[in-house]
Amino acid sequence: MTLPGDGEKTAQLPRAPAGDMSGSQRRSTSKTHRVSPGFRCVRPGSSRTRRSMGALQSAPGQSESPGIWRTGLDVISFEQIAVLHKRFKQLSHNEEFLRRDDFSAIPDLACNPIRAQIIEAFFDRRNFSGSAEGTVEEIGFEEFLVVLSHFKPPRHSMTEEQRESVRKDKLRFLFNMHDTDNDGTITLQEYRHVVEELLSRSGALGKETAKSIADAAMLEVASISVGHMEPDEFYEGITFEHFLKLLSGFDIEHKMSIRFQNMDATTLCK
Amino acid sequence: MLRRGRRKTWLLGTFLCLVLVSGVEAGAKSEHSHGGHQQQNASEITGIPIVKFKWHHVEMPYTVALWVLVAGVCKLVIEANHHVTTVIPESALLICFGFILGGIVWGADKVQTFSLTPTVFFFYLLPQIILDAGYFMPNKLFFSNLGGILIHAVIGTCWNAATVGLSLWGCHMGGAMGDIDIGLLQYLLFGSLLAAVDPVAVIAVFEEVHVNEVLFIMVFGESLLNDGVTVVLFNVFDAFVSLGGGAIDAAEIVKGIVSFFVVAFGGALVGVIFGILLSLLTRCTKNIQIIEPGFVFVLGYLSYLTAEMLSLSAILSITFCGVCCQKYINANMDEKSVTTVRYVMKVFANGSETMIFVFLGISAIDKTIWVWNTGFILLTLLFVFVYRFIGVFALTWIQNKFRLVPLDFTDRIIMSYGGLRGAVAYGLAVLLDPNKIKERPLMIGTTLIVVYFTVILQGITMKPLVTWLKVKRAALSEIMLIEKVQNKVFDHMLVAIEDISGQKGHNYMRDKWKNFEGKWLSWILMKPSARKKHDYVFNVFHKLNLKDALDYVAEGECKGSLEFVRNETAYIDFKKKFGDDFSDISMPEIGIDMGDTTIANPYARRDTVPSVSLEMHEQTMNGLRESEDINTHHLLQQHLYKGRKQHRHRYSRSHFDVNQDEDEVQEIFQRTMRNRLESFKSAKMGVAPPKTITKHPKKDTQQKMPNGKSTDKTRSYHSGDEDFEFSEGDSASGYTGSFPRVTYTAGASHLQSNPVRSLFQLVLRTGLHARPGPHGPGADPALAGRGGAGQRHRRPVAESPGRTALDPSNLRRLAPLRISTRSSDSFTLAGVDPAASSRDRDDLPPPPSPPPTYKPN
Repeated sequence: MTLPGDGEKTAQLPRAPAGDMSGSQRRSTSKTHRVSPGFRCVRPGSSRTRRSMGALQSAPGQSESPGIWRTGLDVISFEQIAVLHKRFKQLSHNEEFLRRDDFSAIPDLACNPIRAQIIEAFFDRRNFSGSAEGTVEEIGFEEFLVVLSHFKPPRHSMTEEQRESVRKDKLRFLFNMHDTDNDGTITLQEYRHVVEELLSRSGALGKETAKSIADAAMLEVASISVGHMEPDEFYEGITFEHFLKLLSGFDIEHKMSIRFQNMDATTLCK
Repeated sequence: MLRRGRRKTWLLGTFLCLVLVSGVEAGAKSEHSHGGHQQQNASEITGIPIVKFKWHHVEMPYTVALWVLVAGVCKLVIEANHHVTTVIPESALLICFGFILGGIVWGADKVQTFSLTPTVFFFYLLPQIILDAGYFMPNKLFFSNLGGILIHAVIGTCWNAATVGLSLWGCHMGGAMGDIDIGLLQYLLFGSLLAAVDPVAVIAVFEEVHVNEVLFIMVFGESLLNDGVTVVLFNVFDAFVSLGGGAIDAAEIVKGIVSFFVVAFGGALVGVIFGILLSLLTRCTKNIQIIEPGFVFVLGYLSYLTAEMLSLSAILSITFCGVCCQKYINANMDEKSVTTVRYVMKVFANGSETMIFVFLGISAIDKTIWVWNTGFILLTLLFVFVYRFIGVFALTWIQNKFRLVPLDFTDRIIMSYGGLRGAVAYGLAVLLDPNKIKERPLMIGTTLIVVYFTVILQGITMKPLVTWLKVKRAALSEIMLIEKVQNKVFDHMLVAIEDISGQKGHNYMRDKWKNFEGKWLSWILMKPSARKKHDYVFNVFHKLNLKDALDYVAEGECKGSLEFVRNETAYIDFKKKFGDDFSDISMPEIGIDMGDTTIANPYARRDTVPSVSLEMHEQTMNGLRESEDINTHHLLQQHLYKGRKQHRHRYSRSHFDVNQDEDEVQEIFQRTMRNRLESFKSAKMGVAPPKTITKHPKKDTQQKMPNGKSTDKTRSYHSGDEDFEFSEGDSASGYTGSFPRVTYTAGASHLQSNPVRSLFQLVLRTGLHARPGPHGPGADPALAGRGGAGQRHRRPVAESPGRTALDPSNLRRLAPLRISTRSSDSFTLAGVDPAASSRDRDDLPPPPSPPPTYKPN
């Protein structure tokens, strides 16, 4: 494991105080945010960043507070944050915020069929730690980190409960990615949209084929989650519960994880 | 049940012994009489012998064939006792069977005539097993774990060889083994041949345990790849032994290390080259489809031999040949060829595996190889076992620092415990030069004991251990489309996240490789047509659709709801008219025809369609005067003529005569329509169809029984009014319920013709294992759509009283069409409101109907 398990070298994600972002209600529901008062978050890039990171490092014992799991904030090691911060700066051209354009400009991302969905996920408030909805126009380093933290691999020493919540968190992220209008269900249209993007851009499949595959998959979902259906019954769409059930056989906590490197690989990227 | 099983076993056992003994005795006899025989031949040259017994003439191939048969029968006997194989793995049982057979041979000959020789093993038995492993290798899993596999295969094997050799030498120095003449180098040589985990044994044991896929690929991949290391180590130490201890200097050692890389990577390279050749070759085998599966085996074997010739690692070569070409040849070759390759591959691999284990057992019954040395043997066992554990634990500990999903403690134990040694070690041991190594028999014997210990004891205890440690098992789940789609989403998502976060993890690498592969390799190695439809998700979709269609047909036939497509009544009618003798003549023909057409259809015997139709038609002519009917008749006659002409059964060496004629489909459809018309008329007008049908219920039963029709079906058939036999079959199945309401016109018949026909095509295709066909992949869903439209028509039939409709959940992929709002409406209404139903029916769109309407509104 790349993660040091103890609190000494780990840093909790910096969080902005409620008033930090004017006009944003995103902070209002930071239910899990009961950290020590000395824990001030800082806009990245300012001269305070360094200092606060130092402070984070010296704040032991905080990383294990249970709420962290609920927010999906895993503990990212200090080195990893530093690497990611560098990357953030690089993407934003040394600005404090990232915009959609910055993402679109990543050359490697250009041929990714679901690029739009991924980028959107970074600007989706549901994927931040609060329970707010809607999208934002620009994100700071904190949000960037929070979204990326959905992809943290689970730690080996986790209990079943923690594992379950990590799982749920990852699935929620995935669900949100599909559920674009945030009504709690993935309707056929929404699903079809993703599948079409996924298939018709990557392969030689036509839109029609992609559509019928999406339909068929949706039916599969219907038959799994509802069971027997009357002919005139109509399947509304995938709810989150169904989604959980559907992917229950999935090793999601591992499949939806990447290793964040400690090394600075950013310099290799254009 | 148990007793019967046992008796069967005994019977088989006796048979086996008989075969064996007779074979052996014949062999012995022929050897004795060999000299005399020739003399006889010389002396009796004057007359022409009518019959000659020429055993020596066929001896060699005959013995081989007999042994293959015996090995096969062994496997059969073992698998017949299921309660035994659940406890003891098959490989262990086969070895034990080998002991018995070896005993028999020994008893007959007083010398072990048959044993596993390295030539036979390495040239004729091993290649196909490895090719099979490579060809069926789960590539993604393999390459994503390649790092770990290589660490174990290279470092782990070297570690095993060195430690076992050195420790044995140490014990020898300590005086634990008494007086044997083995030097340090020879110990190292011995260690190196014992170091490698054996792919054959590993597959045999792990296949039955179903551990999770990562664990399996770690052990299995290691066992495949460590061959390169073993061969090099073996060759190097063999050379060192020949050179003698004094002649070894640093240069030689460096050469040894260099040769390792050359042998391993060279072997892999040869394999890749042959894989590419094979892919290119299958690109242009369109016209010789019947022999294209052969290329796979021949080129695979050639890659093995080429590597062997260049003294590179042959196993690595054939593994990589299989791994590289699997994707392209599967896409390039015809679907039937792919199926053939898969089956033949399995036949070969399974057969070889069986033979190998049997012969491993037989080889043990040989006095000449047994030199007992308790210290040597026990210490070898101990070291092999212990150092495997140490090596695996140390290496996984290092690896876990870099793995996303670490291997946990139980995984490591199973990995260590799964270090089975097998026939490769034995083959290498037999290769030892008796002139240079004095204690060769001891080494062979010890190797055999190690093999038995690992395969039998560890094999037996593997399953309980896996259960006891609660090792994560492989999840047995049916393939789901949504899962595949989600997997693809994951792939792209992870790549995107790595891109965004600026990491270059293995997702990134995989994506880059995939792009490169898609852009260049596929372009070079794949047929253009195959390239287009090569999409994993689509393939899964296609497969599931086929499965659904098959289920659909099967289920429909169980419930008799396909009756209107394949009408039994026509057959009966036919019989009534022409009597039994004619039917006897025509029946085989029908059987053959349909058997050809629907290869995978177990119900083929029920298809009595082609030869029936003509008579049917003749009869209907008498009774029906409406113009549209005459129209239909003309159509019918036309197609019938063609249809029958196509039905000649031919023999051809290069083609399977599969009837893909459109006309026949047309014909069947027309006949169907005719039937519907019949039943419709009879129900509407209350008139029995013009066909005169006599009451012969008993005769019917008799006739129908051999046709695969169940008895109670027949009974229900006759339960009603017997005067009305013909139409009863229809009305009982619900025709009266729905069809009278259809305002039937000739035009309507043509309107309805296509959906039904396309349904039939769908059914037919399913039977043929056909790929998307002339329409290309893009059109296939459309086809499914039309099939669905056909089902819409069929609905009332399926929903007839007393028969349950097909459950939407049963046929998920085809179902969009069925639970579309529209069709469900029409269906529900059909049961209630005749007017609405008929209106709806008339409204039905002509095919090609719009694509699946599953509108969420």
